[in-house]
Amino acid sequence: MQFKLAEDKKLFWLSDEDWVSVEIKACFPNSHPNKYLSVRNDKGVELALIEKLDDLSLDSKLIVDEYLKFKSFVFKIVGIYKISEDFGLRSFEVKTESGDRCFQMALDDWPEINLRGEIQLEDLHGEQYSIENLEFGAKILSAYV
Amino acid sequence: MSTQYFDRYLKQKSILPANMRAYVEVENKDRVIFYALSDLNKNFERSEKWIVVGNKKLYVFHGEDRSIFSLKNIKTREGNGRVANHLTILNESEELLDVFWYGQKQNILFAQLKYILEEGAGHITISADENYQQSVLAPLLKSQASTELGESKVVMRLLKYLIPYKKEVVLGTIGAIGLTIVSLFPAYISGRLLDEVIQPFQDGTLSGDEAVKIGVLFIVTLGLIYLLKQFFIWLRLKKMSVMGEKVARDLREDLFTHIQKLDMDFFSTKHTGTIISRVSSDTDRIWDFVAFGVVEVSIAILTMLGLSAVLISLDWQLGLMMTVPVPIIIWAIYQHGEKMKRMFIRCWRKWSELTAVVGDTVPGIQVVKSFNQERKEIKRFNQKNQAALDEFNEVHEAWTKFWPGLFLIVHAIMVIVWAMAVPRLLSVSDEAGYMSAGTFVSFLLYMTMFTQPIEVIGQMARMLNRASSSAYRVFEILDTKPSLKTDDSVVRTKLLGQIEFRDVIFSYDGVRNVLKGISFEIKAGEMIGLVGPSGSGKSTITKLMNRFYDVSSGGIYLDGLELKSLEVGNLRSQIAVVHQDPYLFHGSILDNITYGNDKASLDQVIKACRAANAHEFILNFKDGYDTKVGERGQTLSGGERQRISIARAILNDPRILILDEATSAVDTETERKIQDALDRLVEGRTVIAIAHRLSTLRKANRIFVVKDGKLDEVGTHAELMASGGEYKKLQDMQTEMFNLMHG
Repeated sequence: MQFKLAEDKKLFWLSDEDWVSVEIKACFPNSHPNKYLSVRNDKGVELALIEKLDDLSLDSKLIVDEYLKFKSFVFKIVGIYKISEDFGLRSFEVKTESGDRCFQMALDDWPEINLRGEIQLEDLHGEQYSIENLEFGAKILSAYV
Repeated sequence: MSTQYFDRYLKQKSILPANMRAYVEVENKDRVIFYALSDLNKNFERSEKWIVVGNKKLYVFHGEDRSIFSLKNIKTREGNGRVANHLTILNESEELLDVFWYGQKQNILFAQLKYILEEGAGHITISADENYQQSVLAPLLKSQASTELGESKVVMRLLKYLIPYKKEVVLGTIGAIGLTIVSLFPAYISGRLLDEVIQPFQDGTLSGDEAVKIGVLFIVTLGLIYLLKQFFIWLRLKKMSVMGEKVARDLREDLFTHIQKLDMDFFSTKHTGTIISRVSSDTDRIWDFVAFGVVEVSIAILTMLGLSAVLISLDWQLGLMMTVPVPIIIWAIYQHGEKMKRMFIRCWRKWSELTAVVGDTVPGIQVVKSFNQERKEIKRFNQKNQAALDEFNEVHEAWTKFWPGLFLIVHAIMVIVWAMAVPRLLSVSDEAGYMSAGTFVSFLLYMTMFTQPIEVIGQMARMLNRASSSAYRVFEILDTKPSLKTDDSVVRTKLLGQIEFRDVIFSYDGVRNVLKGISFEIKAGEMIGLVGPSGSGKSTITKLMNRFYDVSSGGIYLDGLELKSLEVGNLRSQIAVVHQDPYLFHGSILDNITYGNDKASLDQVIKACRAANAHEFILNFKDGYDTKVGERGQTLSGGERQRISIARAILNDPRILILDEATSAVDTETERKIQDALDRLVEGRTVIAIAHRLSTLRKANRIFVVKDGKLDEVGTHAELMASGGEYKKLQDMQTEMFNLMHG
């Protein structure tokens, strides 16, 4: 399997001497993000299923790795400044590896812990956050986890 | 208001910066038709790149950099990650012009931008500012109930529910105040009895007869005081508990009435279990607080102040010893309350998880049993049950540590008071600092009473925390505004049934577009077949027509009137939907048939049931039309439920009829009967029939093939077969399947 990655992180797959635009979707993005990766064309048809990244050649693996960084990117929270509640909303002000952010969750939505022990949060807009280790704010978070 | 949301929650500009607008409109003499914000850079850090669509040009602003592209022949491609997405624009030769990185907040805007770049901006009817704000705020506004903040406001709002019951509040308060006042007398009288009767008698300064006479007077007074005390207790309990029940009833009524008005969005985002617990246990906790909490806590504060004054007036040194630590004790109670509040959040979460398991399992009990998963479900429930127990135990551990500790301090103060008092009691009466035994007995009895209001305030803090968090959840629902906006409620008694979809884009979650720009017209009285793969958007089209949701962009028109301008109840009364698995309510068959038209005569009911091929099987039941159908109609077969729902639709006499896979879940014979009933039902109405079995759509005037949220093909059965497209492919597959199954 041969892949190439465009500047905008668009992935192409060499199929019968033609570069076909594809995307790779992890079958289990939360529990096993690097296993069972489905290669699909623009119409959503599966062209191949990669069981493990190690099955790929080194070149392809590097490209797919780079592509998956974009596909699986979530904001990693490293600190919590404040959690406050309004009617219907829980508002978070946090420090992430990509800078300070604020986001909101519904009161009925709670952070979840995945199989890898990371705390996962998804805000009202669908933006995802994960917490592995906190530099500060663990006590603030404790009521919600 | 929108600006406030942007500043407070999104930390993103609420409008296109003025200098950029001026650049487009003044310097380039163009018009801002649409704009979007690319809020990430390629490293997924916060960024600000504005993309503006003008009449013929696309403007991109990034810091001081400005680029202009002609809208002609711009190509796009997109990529979606879990958080970060990009829309890339390319020229005719597929050379990359620019990449716009964006997070999920901007998702709707970029779906619109892509559509505009591919199809043009002709469908845009609202201003660029309005569109930008609506698109970004949509998920927030759906969840945000109110901008009101703070626990005190919640409690004040709760207290407004007492207004209709002023009489009960006044009588209950009189009971509570009376109780507080009369409770102060026994201690005082006991002291007087000791100092003025017993002590003088023992000293020999009062004769036995005199002592008995005065003693009896004191005892009778004490007896009357206790009688009065019981009367006030009875008055307070009776009035307050009745009033609490009435307030809880009012809250439940408001809650349920409001729930009926909410959109489908609300129900798709909330667990049934949590809605039920808000109507039941939350209102119950509020009852507890309203009935006893409000007055008790006020009286406790008053009692504490009164007792402090009495203690200081009896003996200022001992009185101050008792009262000075009170503010510290109250501060400790407040701090403890704050800690408990956080714990209650966790408790409530675990509790709602527990009720969600019940709410999830009971309706699906048939699946649970058929897959033999009872043990798994019991295990799941027990885990949640244990988790809830653990959290509640944490709460109990916290308060059982705190309160004995606090009372240890209070009792230590009492011991100090004793230590200070004993030398003064042992001194002689003309010595400085002498204290009579009667005064000390009164002091002791008042001191005992002192702990009670502290205890009440403590319990109230707990009750207040529970009640305010319950009130918070109840008001959260009451404050949820239906997101469907009606521009100008037009009531049309009789719609003709002409339908038009104009460039409709729709997303359930504001993230993934289910409909991606659909346009079609249906003439009044026409029968349309809607086909396409699962998830292609067929049912969504019918839900939008019923206005269960509003379109994200574009418009839907009935008889030339925009759907938003029609009064929702009036609109829905003229549209009937026959589902694949119709929902019947617990009640009789008659109740279910007349559900949408309870004024229908029995004659009309029977005629409707005859037309629906339901009359015969209904009469086979012992109780005929009065047969109870059980919860969700589980005592009837799928075909029977289906025919009852058709009778219900016939009785409603709709102008537009939606058949959503109406015959797909039944056997051939039942299907024939249902089809027969449907043929009678569709006469003279606009009909949209969704069907997987294409053979059921032969009578359709036209067939719409929906694929991936777009209208792929339109035509008659013959035209679509001749064109050899998606419809023919589906038809061939079904024929092949039929041949395989039937040899």
